[in-house]
Amino acid sequence: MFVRLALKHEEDAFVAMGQANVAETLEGEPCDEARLRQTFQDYLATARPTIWVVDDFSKPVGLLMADVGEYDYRAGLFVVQKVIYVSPEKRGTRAAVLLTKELIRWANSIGAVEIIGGNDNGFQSDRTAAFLGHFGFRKVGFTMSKRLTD
Amino acid sequence: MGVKKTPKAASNVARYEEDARQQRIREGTERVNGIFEGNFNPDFFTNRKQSFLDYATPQLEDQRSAAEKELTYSLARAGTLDSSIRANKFGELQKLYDTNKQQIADKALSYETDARNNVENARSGLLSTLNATGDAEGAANSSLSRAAALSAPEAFSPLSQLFASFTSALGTQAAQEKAAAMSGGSYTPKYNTGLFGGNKSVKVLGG
Repeated sequence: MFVRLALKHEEDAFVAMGQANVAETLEGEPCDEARLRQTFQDYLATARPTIWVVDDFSKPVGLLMADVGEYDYRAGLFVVQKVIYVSPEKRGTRAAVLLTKELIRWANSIGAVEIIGGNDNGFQSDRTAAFLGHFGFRKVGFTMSKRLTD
Repeated sequence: MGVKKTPKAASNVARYEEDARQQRIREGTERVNGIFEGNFNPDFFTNRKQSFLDYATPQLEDQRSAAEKELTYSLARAGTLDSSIRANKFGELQKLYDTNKQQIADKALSYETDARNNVENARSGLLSTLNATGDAEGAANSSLSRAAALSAPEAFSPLSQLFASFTSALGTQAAQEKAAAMSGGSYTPKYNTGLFGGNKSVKVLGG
């Protein structure tokens, strides 16, 4: 089991994991397959976002999606961890750890100043915070959301 | 987990370099995967198992045959070839044979599993290095040499004496029963199979 960049032929696997992630963590939220596919194509064309998968005997069993941005007030880049997802049958394995280590390695390799990540969906928030805390992440403020449409 | 914050675009130069790096890595990954898939299809792993079975099974059969002969000679010496003792002893031998056969099958399966794990570890190492260095050409070259090394036939060790405990027990029992027979009753073996010694005595005829 190891982490590598997602490959072109893994679009369907990415879509399936993306849909499963939305269903599990954002109950009732619409999930547009076409939008997911566009996200994957954006990754292939521009590396924005960047998508990694956990490869388990050539089968993708988890994914990490991250993006890069520039500060408004200072020089340097920051990395945003957007999604970490591991298939249910592989939870409890090293998958999430490998993904997070790769995120940190990659952020360092591109010279980023910091990684912004965490949880903004209410799904196992404490557990997620504790998990990221092991890697040196610290809690900064609150994520807030005001729903405007339904 | 996730955050919806959308970052502003990083500088165009930085993005272009990262796009190109990721593209090289993906191409390198496809090449490494292609080399491994070409060399290590499902038949390769099945053959690893079968090779050990082909190597070990004839040895098992030969050793069983030798143990059967030894048992038959022992029974014949004791005049018990047609007795229930024969059935019991051959039953023990068959049980030992079945156990050894299962152990060989388990070992063969472990060769298949080990081969899968070794190949996967090699692929994992190559792709992790590629991911870190972006050197697609180096990864492809390394893949070829690793694939060649991993494809080399496995060297097996000859099987040990699988029926040694059985034939050795026959010898020990024979010695104990003979000793009992010759002691005139002063020595009694723990078990008496009747295969060896018994109540028969050896008469020495002198001229």
